[in-house]
Amino acid sequence: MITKKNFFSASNTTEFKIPTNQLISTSGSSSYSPFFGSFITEQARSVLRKEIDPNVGKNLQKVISIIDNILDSYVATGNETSNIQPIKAAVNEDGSVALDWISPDYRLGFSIEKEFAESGWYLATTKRINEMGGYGHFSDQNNKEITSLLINFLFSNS
Amino acid sequence: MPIIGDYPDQCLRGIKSKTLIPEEGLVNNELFYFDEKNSNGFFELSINWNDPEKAIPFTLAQKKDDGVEIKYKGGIAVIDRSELDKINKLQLLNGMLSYERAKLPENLYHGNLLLNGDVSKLKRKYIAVTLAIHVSEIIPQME
Repeated sequence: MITKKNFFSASNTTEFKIPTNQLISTSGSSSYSPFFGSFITEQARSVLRKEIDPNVGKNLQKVISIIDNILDSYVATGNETSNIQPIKAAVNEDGSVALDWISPDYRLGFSIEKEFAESGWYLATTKRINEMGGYGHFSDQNNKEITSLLINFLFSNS
Repeated sequence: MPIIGDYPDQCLRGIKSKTLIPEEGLVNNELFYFDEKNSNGFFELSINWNDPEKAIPFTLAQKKDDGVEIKYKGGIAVIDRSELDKINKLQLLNGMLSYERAKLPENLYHGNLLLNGDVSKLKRKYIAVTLAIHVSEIIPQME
């Protein structure tokens, strides 16, 4: 069983993948307060104003809202946020959108496709952060939990 | 896919635009997106092998098809072959990454990184990210 504790301390593994049926449950906040989150996802939001596929746009909006919501809940619980960089956003040649946090020691990102089920996340780290790696597709059941774990990683390593 | 032959210690990936360098020392994941399949059904990513002394100046001097404009305006991303081999042994890749030398009449250093043709798009992005984070050096284009 993957828990929040061992997800971020995979020091003895070279990679990990979270089975979607072995996720911890997190209590997602239902109230959206666009403060810190909207600053971090500003570039991603700007992509919504470009000419992109409507389905990609819809899914991008969905992911941005999830990220905003989780980031704002981190702020609300007093977490240090000054080291968190804005997420980078780019429209790929195939029309998909990439959202990425890029640092010398890790890459954490989301790939937004026309079909939400084909969209997903990916993570790779250097040996300074235990050489972890993983990826996975979103589903309506797991997206908040996965994103929460990934943002937890971000706060732990920024 | 078995890797046959002797290879230099490093491969070079040309960076077509400075926009692929978001911060000093870092390259965008996009530089390593495997999007094109070869005639054998493998995804293919063009590289040059860093043969001693001449491969780097040759790569920096490569021109676009028009024969005039510099091809790699952002310079060159270097990856150690030992890192490729290590990445290929990761459980999530399990040997699906490979490489070859594929000399061209106009480019004797040319080669390819190869990926099994049945790898999903998201997994290819994960592999791109993994390659990008293992770039050991960015050699800038000559001004």
